[in-house]
Amino acid sequence: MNLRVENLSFAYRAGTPVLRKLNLEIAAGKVTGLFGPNGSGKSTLLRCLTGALRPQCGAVWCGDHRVGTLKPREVARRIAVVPQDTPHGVPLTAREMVALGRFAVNDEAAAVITASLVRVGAAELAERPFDELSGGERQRVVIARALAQETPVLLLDEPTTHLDVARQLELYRLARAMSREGRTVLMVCHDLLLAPLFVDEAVLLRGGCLLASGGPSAVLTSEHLLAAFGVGIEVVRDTSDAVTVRLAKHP
Amino acid sequence: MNRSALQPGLFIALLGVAVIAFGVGSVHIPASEVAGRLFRAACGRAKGDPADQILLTVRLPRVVLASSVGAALALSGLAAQTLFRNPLATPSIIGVSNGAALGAVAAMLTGVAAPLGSFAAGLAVTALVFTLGRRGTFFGQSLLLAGIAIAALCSALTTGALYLAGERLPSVIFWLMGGLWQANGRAALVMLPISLAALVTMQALARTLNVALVGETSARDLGVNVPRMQHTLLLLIAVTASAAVSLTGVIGFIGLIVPHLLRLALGGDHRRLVPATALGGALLLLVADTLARTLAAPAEIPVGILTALVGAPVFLWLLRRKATL
Repeated sequence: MNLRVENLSFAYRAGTPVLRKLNLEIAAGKVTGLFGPNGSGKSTLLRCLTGALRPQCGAVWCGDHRVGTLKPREVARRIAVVPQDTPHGVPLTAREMVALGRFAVNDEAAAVITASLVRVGAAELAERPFDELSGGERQRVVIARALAQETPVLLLDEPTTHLDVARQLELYRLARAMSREGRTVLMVCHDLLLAPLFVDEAVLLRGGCLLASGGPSAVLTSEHLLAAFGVGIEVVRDTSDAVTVRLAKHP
Repeated sequence: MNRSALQPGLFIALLGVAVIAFGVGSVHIPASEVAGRLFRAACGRAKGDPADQILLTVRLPRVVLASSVGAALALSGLAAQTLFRNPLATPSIIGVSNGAALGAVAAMLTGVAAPLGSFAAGLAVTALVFTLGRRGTFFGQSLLLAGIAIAALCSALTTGALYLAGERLPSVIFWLMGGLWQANGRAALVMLPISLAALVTMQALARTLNVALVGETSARDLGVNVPRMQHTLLLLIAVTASAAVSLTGVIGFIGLIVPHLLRLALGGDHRRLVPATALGGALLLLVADTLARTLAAPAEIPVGILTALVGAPVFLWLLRRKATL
């Protein structure tokens, strides 16, 4: 199920737009990385994609449905979200947290919940209180919750923030595997080292505008990164055209 | 603790305490007779002796009212804690209790029926807090801030009214302390359906309330119609807490400690928590009220004093526990 963004503009306050006339197509079966500096509108775009924020103009389409016309329950059957921050003070076990992902379909299928926990390597955490888990463990449980929604679209907002490098690799591989099953995976990325190796498509935002989109090697160029981040970044490509970046000038 | 045993255990304890409460008082009615007398009365074959009179017109309404008010206070506390995602929230934090108390005091001083004034004021204050709080990005947070301000305002106005109460001051103060000495059949018949409706509503919403634990944004992402849920909970808190205060005055701590203790025992799943909270609240207030009318008989201790005497240390213990988490 493709996501399509048409001429999307959003402002929290009139006169200071956060997203400006964005047009995007996020394809099914691929991992799309959403890159850009802080405040460039990445998380806001994600919240517009789920209908949590209503754009002032333009529209978001999820397959044949305009997201703004769907009820929250209908959106949750199509789009699962892994938020930037994991919640605190939630008196549930990890398994009960994952079961929340089944709310929209009204069916707490035990097999789906267990399979989701296994898929993120959190099966042994199932009966532990969510609040007593480490940041990385909580992150994995929240990802399992999104998997338990069994949606065709998966949005991840900086999902690697709390994860060590081994878990980051696992997450990227999981995202890739999900996309190969036909899902649409959109991931907000801050990490320019690992993410470019795993995304099929890259979208680069600056100041709420689309700076570039396409394959990662075409988007994540030194010129684009300098324009977006204001930092000189050298981009190296290996023989398979995979992108590796490093700072052009060390401080 | 065995989670599955807790709910039947609470129910049996409630029945046991009810039998004791039917029996104790100025005229002792043996526990062995209570069930028989109630059954005969239900079949329309009451003996009509003094013991029957006391049982049916004094103690039955009081036991029903204490259980219903206890359940209502505990459920509205649970609803507030889930709505604000704060285990220390109660209906008084959004001004409902203070508003209802102000309404009762104003009604008593102006000669209007206190329960009516109290109930109307509780609802009016909630509507005011809702109107003030709805503009914020995070509804729960802005509602809480508006509620704290309005609660303080109501509290100040109540104090002002007390200052002007003159010779009626003792009776108003006594009412404010909270108690069930005014229990009668009509009050019990008003409160019981409200409590049952609150129980049924919250049990029907249990899965939604579970999702609400993760916060407004994620709850929406998981499929909850967040505004509708918030409005339902707010209405439920307003009606149950206002009704409880209007009939029995301000009885503290039940709304705070019952859901909190049961959450520690049962976890946060509302499908277990809601019925257990209703039973726990009913049990606690019935025990407290039975003690209140027997400990210093024939005098009666305001039950609010007893619940606060138990509640305050438990509250402090919870705060300490929270600080060490």
